[in-house]
Amino acid sequence: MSTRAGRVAQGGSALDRSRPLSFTFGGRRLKGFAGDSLASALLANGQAVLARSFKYHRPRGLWGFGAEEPNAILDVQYPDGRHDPNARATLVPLEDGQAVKTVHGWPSAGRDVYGFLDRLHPLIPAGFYYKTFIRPNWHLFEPRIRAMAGLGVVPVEREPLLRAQRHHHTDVLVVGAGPAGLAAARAAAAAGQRVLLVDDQPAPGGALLVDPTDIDGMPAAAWVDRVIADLGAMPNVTFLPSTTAMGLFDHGLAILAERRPVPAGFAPEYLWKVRADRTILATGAIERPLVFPDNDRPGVMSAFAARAYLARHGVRAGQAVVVLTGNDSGWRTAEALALAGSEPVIVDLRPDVAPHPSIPTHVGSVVIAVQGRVGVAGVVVEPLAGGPRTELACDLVAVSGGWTPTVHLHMHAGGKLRFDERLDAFVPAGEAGSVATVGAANGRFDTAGCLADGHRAGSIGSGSFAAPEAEAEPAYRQARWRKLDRPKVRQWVDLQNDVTAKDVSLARQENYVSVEHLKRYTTLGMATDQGKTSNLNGLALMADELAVPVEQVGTTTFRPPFTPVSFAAIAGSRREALLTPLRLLPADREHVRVGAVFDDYGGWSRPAFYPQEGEGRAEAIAREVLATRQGVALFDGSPLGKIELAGKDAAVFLDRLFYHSLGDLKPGRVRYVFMLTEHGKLYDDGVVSRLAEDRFLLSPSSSHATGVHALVEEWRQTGWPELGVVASNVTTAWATFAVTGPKARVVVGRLPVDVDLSAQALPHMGFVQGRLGDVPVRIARVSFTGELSFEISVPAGYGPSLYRLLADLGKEQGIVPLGSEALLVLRAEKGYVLVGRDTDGNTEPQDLGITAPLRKKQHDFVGRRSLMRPVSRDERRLELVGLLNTVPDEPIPTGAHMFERDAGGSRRSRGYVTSAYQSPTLGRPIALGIVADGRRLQAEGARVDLFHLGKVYHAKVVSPVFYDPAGERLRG
Amino acid sequence: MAEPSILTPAPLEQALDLPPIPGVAGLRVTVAPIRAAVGLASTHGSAGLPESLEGVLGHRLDRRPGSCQGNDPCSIWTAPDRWLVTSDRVERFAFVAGIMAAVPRSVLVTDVTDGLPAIELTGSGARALLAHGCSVEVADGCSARTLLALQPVTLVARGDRVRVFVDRSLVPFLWSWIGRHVPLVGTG
Repeated sequence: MSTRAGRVAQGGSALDRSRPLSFTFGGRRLKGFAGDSLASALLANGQAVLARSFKYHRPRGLWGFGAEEPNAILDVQYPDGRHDPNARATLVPLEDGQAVKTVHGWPSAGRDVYGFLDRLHPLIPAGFYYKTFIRPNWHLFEPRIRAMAGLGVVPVEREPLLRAQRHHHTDVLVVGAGPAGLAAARAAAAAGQRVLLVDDQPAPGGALLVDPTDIDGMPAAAWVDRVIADLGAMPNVTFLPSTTAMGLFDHGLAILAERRPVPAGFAPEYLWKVRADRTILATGAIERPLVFPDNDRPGVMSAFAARAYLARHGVRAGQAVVVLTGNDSGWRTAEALALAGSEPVIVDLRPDVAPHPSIPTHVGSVVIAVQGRVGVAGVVVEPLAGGPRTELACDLVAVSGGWTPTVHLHMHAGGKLRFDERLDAFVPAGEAGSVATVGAANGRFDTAGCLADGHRAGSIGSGSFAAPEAEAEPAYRQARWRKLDRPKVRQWVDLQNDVTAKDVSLARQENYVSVEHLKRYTTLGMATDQGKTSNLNGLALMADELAVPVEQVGTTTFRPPFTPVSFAAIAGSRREALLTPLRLLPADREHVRVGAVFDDYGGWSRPAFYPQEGEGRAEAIAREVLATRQGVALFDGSPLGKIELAGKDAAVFLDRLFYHSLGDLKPGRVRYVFMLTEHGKLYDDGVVSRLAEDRFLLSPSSSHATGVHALVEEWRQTGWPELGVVASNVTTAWATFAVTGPKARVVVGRLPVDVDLSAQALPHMGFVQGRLGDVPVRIARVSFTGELSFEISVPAGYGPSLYRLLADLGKEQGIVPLGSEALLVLRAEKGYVLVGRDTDGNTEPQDLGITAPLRKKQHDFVGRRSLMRPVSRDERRLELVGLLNTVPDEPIPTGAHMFERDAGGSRRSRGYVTSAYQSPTLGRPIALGIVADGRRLQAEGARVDLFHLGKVYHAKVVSPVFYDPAGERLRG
Repeated sequence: MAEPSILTPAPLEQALDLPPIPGVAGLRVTVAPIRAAVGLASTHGSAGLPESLEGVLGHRLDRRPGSCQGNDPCSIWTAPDRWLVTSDRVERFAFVAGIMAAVPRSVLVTDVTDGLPAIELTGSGARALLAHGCSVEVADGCSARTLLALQPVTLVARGDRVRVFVDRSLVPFLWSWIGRHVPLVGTG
């Protein structure tokens, strides 16, 4: 039998001793076994100091066994490239090759240069930071203070693995596979319910794995195996071990984080989004610390954790052990450790218990001091009723301060709590909607009670079999303990946030008595453990301070997640190319074939320009512009919106929806239109074609196609539902190519279509439908270049074929592919605005010089009332103008602000440049801008100054139409 | 009438350069061989519409949400007063013309064959794959308008075959997403 703390020769039901694993801790190579958690492996290797405390930089060691662990937060790097800078050691399965280091203290938790802060503790009580660093500015101090406080640093290296997510629907979700959870799952499954059972430990059984008892006449382990086998044989049951329920949300949604191996390319971390009709919480209870002097030393550990590490991982946490307890649970730890060869001594707060028959017991006593700094060396025990003190040498203090039901998920679901005096703990006050809490989480601390509670919750109707039974246990009895009445010593309440009993008193003195104020003032219950071990002790101390019942103090709100979950897990596969779709044109491969350079235009991957050999970007754009002005070009306009509208009231609907009139538009004609918001602001511009009396085709701009369709549906369904009109967005069902330039008619004239495309039959702003072979075709005479243009649309599947055909038909005329960048120049030369670029969120139609519809329309339309406000007639409104630089070789940049001086001489913006290009057609720079009272400045030919990035530019205000102001070219 | 076959349709895989997705046990991913997809949009209860198409489709349009009527052609309820009619075997333009001729004038008929293609998932793993990016479990013989990988889709489930109708421009994204998640099928 071993006489040292560490791994025992036998035992450890979770271990596979045939599979040794190797990992490093702070650079030192250590050994463990498959089945170890990182915490158990570190404990087995005698690593006492795993952290430094948040504020005072005191050495801290392992406290717990599961999700409640407040101290052992470590940085873990995996061989597959994953990096978790804030891993809770108790929840991390040991893996071969893990590189582990501490995250608190500098250079490490073992040797922390900031350890001196502990000696300054009288100077830095709770509230110190708030009061001291508020002046001159908290943000001056914050970075340094946060760096000193520790916690992991977000890695800068790229995360190589995706995280998998999945959705799941079930009738019953059971959280926790301890006795209550297993009983609930079995009963629900037997009733034919679809059951999802989850547990955050790798093996089912919960407390039964640590504290075995007989159930249904068999050992607990055998009973667990049988239930799991029964459930495994049922097709309606899914069991997920190593899965933590992170939170419960509305409508039965639960988020689960599962840790298990998955295929290459994915991290072993699954995020489940489960929708359950009913949820049964069998989340157990968390053993809470006792508040006594120096109760934070490495080697002061939860008594349950000490016997769990022994039972599950074959690790003896100490050789000479003092068990400080106020209940029978602590005694079980003493007995288990004694059986494993330790030498325990029990210190029991309860004055009326008989001493243990074989283990030395100090009845009615408490530990008043813990000796040692980086590990426990001994304790001083004092009878509560007074009497001589006893010094005991020891290397472990196992503490059981009672059990706190794990009610976090119950509260996520909106559940209420009540305080149970007998348990000295909060328990659920009934169910929370479809969420029921059972077992220890419901205050049932005996196995028989847990089984009955779970079985009842899982049963539907009368049930097909009886509840499992366990032998009766003595009634749970917990000594009521708050703290030692020694004002000068520090007794820790919240290990993760360095909150002491004195801090709670100080909060009360400063009148932070509300539980929410107590939390913010002291940081009690904050951070990654969310008060799992500290909350109740803190609340009870405040209740004592106020001399009120604990229930009157209440609790803070437990929010998801129950334990931290990485952003990578939340993001899942939504990253890089899978973050946002980049839409492809129907003829995408054709553009690739002719050498297009692509860019993202409003979520579409579109050709920006088509460089020829040796050409740069600017040269290619200039060549494409000039080819369009002088010859003919082919532009892929497929993303242009296409919304079909039909119905007897279609014209009425559009007249109400758009700024421009459409009721008088003749079939076969096209009109340029504005769509406004209800506030009268310009939302989009586009064209509308009338296909027949009761048929229209709306063509909003590419980036607004979806938005315009949404507005059409909104007004159709909610604004004027009485109108007989329907709409469908068919934008991507059609491929659209513009043949544009003075030679466009020659090229289009060669198309074997069955309709007349002559200028007489199809004039500018005309529209016709026909067939190209057996394929439907739509041709519109609209132009965004200022040149003669034909927009030809065919079903998208025929797009590549049509693109090739048009390129072939135009070869003789030297047709060139036209990219989006050249198109932007062409439209700016013509003074065509790009909504969103040459307008801002305040632009109204009159700012662009379009006022006729407002004057002529006799009925209401969307945005009309807003346009009647005085602000719409304000002469300081920003109006569209053209700008020409007056100093050669100093082109005006986009974003430059026209400024004026106020009475005090300060510069004030009067508008800004929205678009600026080198115009190949004009051979000089041009710019568009929106400036206050712009049209008057234009009429005066005003010379203005513009400012951009420290430089002043000089310009003349001119008409925004730089090219072919009479519009003769596009009518050809 | 001009000569036919001046233009030829490009297969979706070719037009959008979709690489083959290696199959895994229980799942095969292909582009659905749909030859015609027609959108029907009506309003105010679609008076006369369900009956008007009985001769063309061989069945009446079903007004029940999530319903799918007929094997081929198949009419899929997509919203109140809206259906999507698909076929794997008809001649597309004639089929569209036949529907247009049959329905009341107030109905908007749109040929969305090229705008709303479908990715077909075949095998016992089809639904498992969808579960990685879609919150809906679509019942056999039913349809659902929902999101897959946060993109709007219409799912149609028939036995172990699920068709994912999606806007043409989003096909490359979803194809890539599916290809990335296929290895997860069979892992539970």
